[in-house]
Amino acid sequence: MKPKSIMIADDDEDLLFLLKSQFTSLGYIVNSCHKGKSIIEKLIKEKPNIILLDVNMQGIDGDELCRQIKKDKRFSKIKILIMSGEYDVERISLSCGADGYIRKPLSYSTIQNKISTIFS
Amino acid sequence: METEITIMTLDVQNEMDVMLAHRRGMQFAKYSGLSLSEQTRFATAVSEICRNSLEYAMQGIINFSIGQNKANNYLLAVIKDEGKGISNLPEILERNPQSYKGRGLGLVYARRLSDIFKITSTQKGTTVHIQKNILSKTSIPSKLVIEGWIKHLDKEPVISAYEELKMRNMQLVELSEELKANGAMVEKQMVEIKKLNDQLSTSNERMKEFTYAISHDLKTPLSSLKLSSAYMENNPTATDILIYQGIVTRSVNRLDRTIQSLIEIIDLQNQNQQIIKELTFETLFHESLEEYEQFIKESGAKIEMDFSTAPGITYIEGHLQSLFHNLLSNSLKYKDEKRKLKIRVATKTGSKKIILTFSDNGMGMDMEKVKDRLFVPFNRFSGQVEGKGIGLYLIKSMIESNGGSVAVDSDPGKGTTFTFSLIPYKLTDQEITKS
Repeated sequence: MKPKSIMIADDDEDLLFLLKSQFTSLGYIVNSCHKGKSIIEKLIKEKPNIILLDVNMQGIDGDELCRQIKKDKRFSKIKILIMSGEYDVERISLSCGADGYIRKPLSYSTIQNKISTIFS
Repeated sequence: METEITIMTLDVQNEMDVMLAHRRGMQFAKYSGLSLSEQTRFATAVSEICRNSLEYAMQGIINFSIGQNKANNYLLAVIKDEGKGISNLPEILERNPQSYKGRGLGLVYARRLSDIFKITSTQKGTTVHIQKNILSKTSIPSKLVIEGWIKHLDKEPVISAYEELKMRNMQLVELSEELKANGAMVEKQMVEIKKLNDQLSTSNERMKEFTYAISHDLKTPLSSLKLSSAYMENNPTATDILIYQGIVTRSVNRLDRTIQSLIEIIDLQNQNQQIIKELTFETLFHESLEEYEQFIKESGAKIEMDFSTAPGITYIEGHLQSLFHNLLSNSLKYKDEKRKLKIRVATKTGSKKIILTFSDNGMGMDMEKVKDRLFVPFNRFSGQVEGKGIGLYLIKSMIESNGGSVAVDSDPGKGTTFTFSLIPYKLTDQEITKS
């Protein structure tokens, strides 16, 4: 199955723009969220197949958000990839129940590979 | 090479002989180089067993010897009697002195006090080996030396039971003092270890926050750089290429700022080698005010200061300069546009420290939300104000590096108060220079 809809959550607006334009050009429906707190409302509305979730956002931790989303039955079908530049990103990803992780600095090819691995 | 030389054999036929065995035990242990506490352990074990022989077998015989085996040198006492033996030996050895109330703990104590304890008991008699290891690596004394010990003991005056008891009491007093001194030293070391441990976990914690911050503030702009340059490479004639160039410029600037901040932080670590001076708060604060003169004039800010009760401190000049500089800069940056900015700085004396308070009536912060991140580098709480987000991290690190502390109280819409506990540095004679 190929995901059709992606939600990207990161507090860096340049990064959001870059990811959004790339994945839109590849044919995905892309929604973005630059304030972690508003993500739940957006998830209910957009029902994405996958979330790319930054761990270090101002005011809220992405791993904490991931836990909340994973607990919520409404979102049980959504896959989550966390993004972080921290050296122990793998451990963080396991501890918050994410479906995978992407190490920063990001590259388009890595993100695409991770997404296709999750959905294969 | 294994050798064993007999020092002395004694009969144990009455209470005085038990005392003598104790006394010889102390003396031989002392001659062998054992410490007072080890001497007492050995002699007490010996006299406990001798008393048993006397009580249960009417008499016994004790042989003291000194020996050497592959492992170490040792002092040995072998006590033999020809009594009826101990029928319930395993049960006796299992007795717990804490719960067993009654006689018959001598064997248990003797075993605890020995390094090696062996006992064999049959219906024809009992033999007990009490061994104390001697840690010294030198060879055991020769027969000639041991003969010297005995000759020395022969010259000892005969002493009464009363004198013997008095001597034993004195030994016990000495021993308890030795233990007390050791206890005090251990306690002191524990305090020192705890202090070092605390320092280590603080610096560990700081290191963790630091790598966390770096990973975010270096790797996010690096991501933007990588992605936008990949786009520009693949689409060199795209019409929106200017947007990507803008992102490249912003990311490079952000990386530059972060690297500048890192250099500042590393500089601060090196400031620990800076000269300590006697400083006056008023002079230092005025220097910082001059730096921001223009901004203060423009904002019409009102500045109050009161250093009357604690005018000065012995401190690292750079640390206090940085403290005033960063706090002033924050107050000016985060002022509430609805009212004129007011800043108040004051000091007072605490016990062995000086309390510095710095308050403003600015935007304030919701402490519940920011308390965990306030002092973490590269965390800024307002997206609208330009800043690197390391000022409070620097201040906290500086103050804590000399054992001081920082507290913050803040209310959104009302203002913020920082309270610092500053521990003055101690000056050595060479370092005294007036600022």
